[in-house]
Amino acid sequence: MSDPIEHAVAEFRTTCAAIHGELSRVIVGQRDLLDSVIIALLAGGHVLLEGVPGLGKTLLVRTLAQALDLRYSRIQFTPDLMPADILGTNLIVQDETGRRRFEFQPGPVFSQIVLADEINRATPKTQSALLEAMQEHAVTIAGQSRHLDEPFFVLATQNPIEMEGTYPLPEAQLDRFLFKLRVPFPDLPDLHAIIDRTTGVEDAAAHRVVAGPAVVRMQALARQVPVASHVRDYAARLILATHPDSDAAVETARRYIRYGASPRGAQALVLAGKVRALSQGRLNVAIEDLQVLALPALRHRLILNFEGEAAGVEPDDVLRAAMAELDAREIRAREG
Amino acid sequence: MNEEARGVHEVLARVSFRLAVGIVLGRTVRAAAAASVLALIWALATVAVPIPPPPPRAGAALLLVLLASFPVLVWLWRPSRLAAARAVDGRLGLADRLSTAVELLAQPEAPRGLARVQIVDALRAAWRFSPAAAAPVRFPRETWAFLAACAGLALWAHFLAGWSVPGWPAARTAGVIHREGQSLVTLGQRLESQGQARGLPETRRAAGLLQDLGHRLQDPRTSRSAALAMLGGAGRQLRSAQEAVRRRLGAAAPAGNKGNAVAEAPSAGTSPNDADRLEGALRELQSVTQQLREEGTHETPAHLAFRLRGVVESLDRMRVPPASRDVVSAARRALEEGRLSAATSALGDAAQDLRGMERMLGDAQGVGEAGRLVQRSADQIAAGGPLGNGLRSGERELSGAAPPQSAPGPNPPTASGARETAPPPGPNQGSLPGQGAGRPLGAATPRLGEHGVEERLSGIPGEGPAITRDLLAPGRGGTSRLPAVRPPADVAHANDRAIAREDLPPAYVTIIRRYFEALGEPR
Repeated sequence: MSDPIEHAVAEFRTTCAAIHGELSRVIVGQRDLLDSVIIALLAGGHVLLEGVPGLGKTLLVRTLAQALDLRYSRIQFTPDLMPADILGTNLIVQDETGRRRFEFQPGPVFSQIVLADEINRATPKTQSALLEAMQEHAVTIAGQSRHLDEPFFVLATQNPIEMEGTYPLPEAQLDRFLFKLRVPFPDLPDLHAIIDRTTGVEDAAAHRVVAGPAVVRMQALARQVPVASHVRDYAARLILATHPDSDAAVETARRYIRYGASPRGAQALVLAGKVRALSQGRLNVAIEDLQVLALPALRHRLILNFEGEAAGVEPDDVLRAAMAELDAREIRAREG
Repeated sequence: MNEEARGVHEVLARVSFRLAVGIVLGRTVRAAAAASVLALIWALATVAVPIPPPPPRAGAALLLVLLASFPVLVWLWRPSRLAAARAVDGRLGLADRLSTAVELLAQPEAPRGLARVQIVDALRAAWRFSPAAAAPVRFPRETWAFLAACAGLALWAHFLAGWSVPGWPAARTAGVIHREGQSLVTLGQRLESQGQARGLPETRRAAGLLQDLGHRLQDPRTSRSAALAMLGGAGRQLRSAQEAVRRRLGAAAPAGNKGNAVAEAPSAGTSPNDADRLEGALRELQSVTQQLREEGTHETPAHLAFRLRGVVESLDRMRVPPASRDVVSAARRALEEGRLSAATSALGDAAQDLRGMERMLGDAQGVGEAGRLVQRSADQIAAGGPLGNGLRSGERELSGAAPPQSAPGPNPPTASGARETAPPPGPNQGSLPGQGAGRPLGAATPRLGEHGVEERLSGIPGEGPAITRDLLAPGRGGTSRLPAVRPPADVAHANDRAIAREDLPPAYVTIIRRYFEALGEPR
């Protein structure tokens, strides 16, 4: 354990477990959701949370900010929200001598953890204001580029059932999210635990586990995890299997998919796989990591065609079929 | 790091070897299982259709080839180190640790940072497993199919080989084989009796061969290929015997006729006319000799010399040794000159020579007949059953150029006249001269005042043209006490309708109607 890298790896795993523990003190159940959020954070990506109201999405983000001791802001997206309301604006400020000058008033995006609540209720113009921030970790206002503090982590939420008066996110913006996570409804024991935990005298609160610079170091460490060629090949073939025009496409994709996952999907898959491997104390990415992460990493990158929409096909079904076909091809190649 | 890496490589090499053994074992057993199942199906099909059984030598050869090629295939199909590492990862749940480490070790630059730690982690995992656990060599599931098929083949060989389902083509072919065996036994018995009666050694040997062959063909488990092989062997033996007889005949024949004798013998042996003529000549010689030995003969020497002239002419037409003919000629001259004792002695010598010739001709005839029957049986068996047309090349060679025949039914068509063999012996078999089982008959009793005249009938014995003629005549007058009257009109009408209802040729209808009308006419 005297090796600094081995020490860093061990610390990575310990920190992940600690973050997960702190989140679990507040959030009841949702173990996979918490794991995925932590992976996305340490992979430097952003998360789109999809779930009905009242499932603890906002609480999750707030608790995460508490556990990481990061600046947290919440933006409630509404149709009249303007880009400047997010990014900030230059205000005329009068100093003590009476001189007036423009002073930049940063918007809520200048935080480290941003909750974009009901992001699909804002207009596309406002939604796109987040694009540069999410991709470049910087915003440009009045010709001046301003960097955001690291780590910068956006969690956007959207309600899948109230679609009236909403503006669905365009594909370009969807592609910038590392994961699209579905927040499941809690089962009966979890509901009991929620009731007990939130209606008592004391509110559960998360304690600080790690600071922002440590998160940045963990992000850097995760990128060093080696990836074997066949694992990388699996990720690439999985992406190609979702493209209906590709020779490697599976039958379900040919039938129900209009556009397959982008190369950014393969990047997200491998990067998230590295974090997952390290969080489990492993020093290499396994195919199993990719299989576990394929649904959250790719489901929002597939665009169904009319037949798929009409048949009620979910992108998850296509991805499961693609993985099953890849496994079958692998077995055939091994035996044949 | 290098030593540990070498250790991992050694472990992976052993894993690779075990994986290759497993792959080759699996494929070999699957191939053997498929082959054995096919052989079992083939063997079981022999009880239904007349096909040759699966050759056991081919199966043994295939097994030997698979065993001999095993090490070569293991070497050829040995997976790479990376593939072995991936297999170990998958089987031991190492989550691609080893395969990643093998790739990192294969890179030209030395691994650093997290890659180096990953290799160390993989090495720790590698030292924890044994190659046997990572790549266990197991027989595939198809082994049971292979063993079951082998057991089925063994059971088939012991209990079902040669057995056939009644009513199926194989049973019909077995029936043909059995029937041919019976006919061979019957002919063998007949030839045996002939050989004993006439002292024909080659014929008796051929008879024994035919009877033994017939008994073996009557074994219900004799397959068609085995029957054809047995018939082929018997045919070769008979041809060899026929050749020997032909050579002896050729040696005995006059110099000018040797070529003809050799040329004619293979096809038909000797002609039955030759044997008959020879027998007639022998009988004539014995008669003349007896006349000479008896006191008070009824015939004059000149008359006897005239009879000997006829014998000499008959011998000229046959291919007998010239010495025998010369002896008969000398006897004739002695008779003409009145030297009766010299003539008697010469005739005795000539008769002895001709008896030897007669035995050779009889052997040739008997062996030839046996050979023809064996060939006919081979043809029948080769063409027997609905699949008889699908003969293999070897079988077709054995069966000669015989055209394929349909399956023999309850009344199988007889062969052509040239190939037809003699009918089986009846209860009075052996009553003809030279064919009986008892003491040979002596010379025919001469009839007073009659001289034998040899008549030659030309043509082929057989049925003549068939001629039919309508015969309309009144029946024989009876003793009826009732006068014949015309039948009533309704009876005649009913009669006509009954005739019309029957499915008869129109010409017959007219004949039948006229017959009934003739019955009703008053006489």
